[in-house]
Amino acid sequence: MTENHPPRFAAWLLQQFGCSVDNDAVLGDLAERYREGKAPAWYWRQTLTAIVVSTFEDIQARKALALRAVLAGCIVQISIEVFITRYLPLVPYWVPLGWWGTGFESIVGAAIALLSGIAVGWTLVRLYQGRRAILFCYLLIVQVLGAVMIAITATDLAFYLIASVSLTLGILLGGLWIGGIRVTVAAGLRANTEIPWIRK
Amino acid sequence: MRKRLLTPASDLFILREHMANPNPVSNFELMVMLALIRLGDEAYGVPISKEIEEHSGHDVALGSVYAALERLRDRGFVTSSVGDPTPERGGRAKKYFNITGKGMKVVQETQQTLTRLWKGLPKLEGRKA
Repeated sequence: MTENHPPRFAAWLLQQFGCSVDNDAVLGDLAERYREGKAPAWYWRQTLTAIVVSTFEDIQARKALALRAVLAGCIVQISIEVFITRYLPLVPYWVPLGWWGTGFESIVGAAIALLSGIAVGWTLVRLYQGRRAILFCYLLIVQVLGAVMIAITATDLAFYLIASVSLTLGILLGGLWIGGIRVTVAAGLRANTEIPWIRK
Repeated sequence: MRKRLLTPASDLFILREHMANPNPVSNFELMVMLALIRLGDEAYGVPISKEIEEHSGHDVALGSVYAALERLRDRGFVTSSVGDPTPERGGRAKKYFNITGKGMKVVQETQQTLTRLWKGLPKLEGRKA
């Protein structure tokens, strides 16, 4: 590999989350310009702009489909939260009593948020024709609503942040899974693409 | 001073022309189309963005260029074709863009509209569209 290879993680992000039908050409053009002497910061800025712009264009072109997917995602998330609210109080009875109050509840909360996020992300992308633009739209809505709820209810900020990060990760993982991350990795290897954690 | 309620005749003319043309293009889309005309058969993402950067003096996001090209293609103003993959592009193919006859007509109409709007503006006297 040449030394002036574009930042790998940025390229991977664009490959996974870029929604333009010309995404491959965008990646190629960015690589070409980067090799002409552009800085990594330029590449990152271009990558993030490409993801944001293509997401916005994608959602704007499919508003009804996006609304349906977001509503379905909300239903899945609320259903899981209702179920958890009903059965979570039983968790202290299932684990040793000494574990409770030592941060264990944060781990349980994070795990539940992660799993719930995976289910929501999977649903969103499944209902949005396998396109990942909907993930960012949903995350934006969830984060804004979450911030409003925090301001109103004065929930424990640390616990909220842990749950929020876990939920975000889960949504992205669930969305990537339905889009076929393994397929993407295989295609990336065939197309001589650098993927951060896979060395050829 | 009496308030003028009616639109002046010249504005009405432009309004009528605007309504007759259901596909007005944005400023940036117009820049992309002009870059395509300048570049001819060699128009793909990199030279298009460089052409706009060179003439506008601003850094251009490739993602925005492709978003504009996608919109223009959807409206039939631009066509695209895939070139060969090259090593300096990480094995990815170039996508070439060409302006269509319909696109060319829109550019000419926009130029005429802008030129008419430019005329008779005392603040911009001496400048050209």
